[in-house]
Amino acid sequence: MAFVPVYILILGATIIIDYFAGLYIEKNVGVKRKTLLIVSLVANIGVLCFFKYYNFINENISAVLQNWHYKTPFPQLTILLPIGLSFHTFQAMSYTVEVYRGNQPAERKFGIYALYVMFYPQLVAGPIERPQRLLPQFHTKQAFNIENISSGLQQMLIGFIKKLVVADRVALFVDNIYDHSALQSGKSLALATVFFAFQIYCDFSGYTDIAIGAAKVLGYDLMKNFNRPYLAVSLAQFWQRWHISLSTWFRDYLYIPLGGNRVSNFRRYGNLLIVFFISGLWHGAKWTFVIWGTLNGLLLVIESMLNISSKRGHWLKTIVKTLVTFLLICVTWVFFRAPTIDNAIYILMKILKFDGGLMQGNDHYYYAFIVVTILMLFEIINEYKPTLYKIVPNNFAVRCAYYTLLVVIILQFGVFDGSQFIYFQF
Amino acid sequence: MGNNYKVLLIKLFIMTAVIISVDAVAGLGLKNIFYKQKKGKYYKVTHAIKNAKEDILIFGNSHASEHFDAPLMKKLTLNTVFNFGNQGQSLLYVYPLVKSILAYHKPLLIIVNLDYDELQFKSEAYERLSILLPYYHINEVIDSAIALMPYNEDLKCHSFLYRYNSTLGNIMLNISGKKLISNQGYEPIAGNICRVNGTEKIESPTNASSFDQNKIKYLMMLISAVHKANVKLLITTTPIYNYNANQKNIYKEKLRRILNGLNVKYLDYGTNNEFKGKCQYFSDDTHLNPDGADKWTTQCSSYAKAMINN
Repeated sequence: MAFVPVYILILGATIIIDYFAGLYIEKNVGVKRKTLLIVSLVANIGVLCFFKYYNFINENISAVLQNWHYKTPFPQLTILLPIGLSFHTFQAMSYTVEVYRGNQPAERKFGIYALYVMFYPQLVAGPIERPQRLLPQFHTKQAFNIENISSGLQQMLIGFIKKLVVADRVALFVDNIYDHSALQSGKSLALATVFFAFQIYCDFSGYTDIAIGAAKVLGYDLMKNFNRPYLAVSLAQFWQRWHISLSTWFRDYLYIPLGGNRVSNFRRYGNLLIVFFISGLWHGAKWTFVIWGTLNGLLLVIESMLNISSKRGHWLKTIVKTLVTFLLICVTWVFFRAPTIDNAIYILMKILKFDGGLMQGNDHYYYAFIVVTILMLFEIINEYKPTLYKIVPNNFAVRCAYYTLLVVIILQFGVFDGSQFIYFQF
Repeated sequence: MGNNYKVLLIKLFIMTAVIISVDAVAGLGLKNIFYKQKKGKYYKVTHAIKNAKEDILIFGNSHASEHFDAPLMKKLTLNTVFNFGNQGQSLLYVYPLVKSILAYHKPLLIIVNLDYDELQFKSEAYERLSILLPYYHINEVIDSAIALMPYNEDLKCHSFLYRYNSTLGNIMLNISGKKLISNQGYEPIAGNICRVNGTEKIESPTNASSFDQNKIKYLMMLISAVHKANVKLLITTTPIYNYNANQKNIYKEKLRRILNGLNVKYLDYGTNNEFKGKCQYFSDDTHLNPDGADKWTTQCSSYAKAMINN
């Protein structure tokens, strides 16, 4: 991912195409309407495919042709992925589709439409907004609101804690283990995988909190993107709580058009696999991401076949279901984190053997353990006993103390090594 | 709206004042316990900055801390010794420490262990200077080293708390127990590579464009400061298991040229035949185990003793 100034022209071109496509789709009926939608979608997907998948597709074609001693006629290109391409492409596509479906009037003001695609707090890594939610907000005059500013800054602070204190702190341990997987024991790799689950959660949800908070300061509401995913009691529930804006995007624009739940079980399972295959591919032009997505789809299919419900029952059953779901998700994260499929399989085999000792005795391990434990404690309170917070008085002095504590935590435990957000690469 | 702005500004002002005050108070509290550490990487730096009084001082990275058996050297040279080597550190760390010590103490001999590739630019060397952050404003040379760090670390150090960022774990681990002084900074690592298949042949780096000018400058300044203080200086390179000596190494050549030019003694054991290929002395390709460290220390000590007595 990179910021190359000239790439703004590409973004500008797709904005112009989608803007006019929206206007003309609204005006026209029948085949012309459909043609305009297809033109818009092809433009968006074309740009995405060229920048993100050209070399990947070319490499794979080349690998296949090599079996017959042929060479691909297409050269490998040095392409930098434009910043936030996967996110704003999906947001732009949802606009033209919603206009086509008649759920959203076409935006008349070009500046407002451009702002919808390029709204800076969520331009780089979402949440992927829908036009029905965001466009009306841009038409409303935003008055100075101290509550918005206060709650926005608070959410940004939480985001910084998640990113600097949890994700980047845990990353020191995870990277150390995963970058030298051949030298690590099964137990260390298992622990690093569990920690990676928290790293990626706090990295991405931390970014989302900062984005939502920044938008809130400006007076705009962005959609919730995470809802304590690791407390899900089933994989289906996990995907209702993880990267919600992308999951619902795939549901509304791919899964339901493919037939959704209204088709036979066999087709439904196929549809799930297609959705998760594409979701994996959306994450990155690497087979590890494709396997990660497909594996998630496969696990969902199995869960659906076994008729495992997302309802909470007895507390013991809830704990077991939560842990099993978490462990299954951790298995899939191995493919997300490992550099190659071979390495991922090697790591999984080592984890299964569960041999050797834990890599303890260094600061990274202790810090990671402590911050993850505290994080989960708050998640559990938020999920099961949110009323507990009511015992703390809500006045300026308490809030002041709370914010100060958060700043102290960031200054003392934050990692300031200039690392990027993981999802910026997508 | 005017009133709302006023309320917001007042609240922000109060918050800022509270955060600045808490930062100062908590920073002072941490400073207090930070200096009570009895061992660990920070103890070595504190010892260098505050109260080093040994005759022979050893500096460098893990090849210094794990290879120079300071108690053995003390026994062999009949001089007090302290090993200030710290894992992953470079000349960027060594020079500020040497300079800080020379401001209040005149040792008999300073030994600086340098890898062949010491003068190569490596961004980690700058990031690892975070070890000096708790000593911000202790003296100018420490501050100038911190100023070399990326991400405006010197600016961030205006927060008292930030100077002790990530140190709490170290403090907790090192505040109790025996003082490091018992080992005089020597940190041996056990094991040998005799049972490991396929050790790597250490190749020379070939990238000619990545000399680190700051490290070259610091090396020159270090030599000049030690000479000016009339202290003897020995530069060493400790043994490497399987170094490919046939390949040209521009960093090694540059290092040699500088040392020759400034008439500095250089004890180069990187390709020494008494160690080369002897797996029983190595815990990995570049690190000696305690047996190797003792053998190396014995040989280095006789050289050091001769230098001191000259």
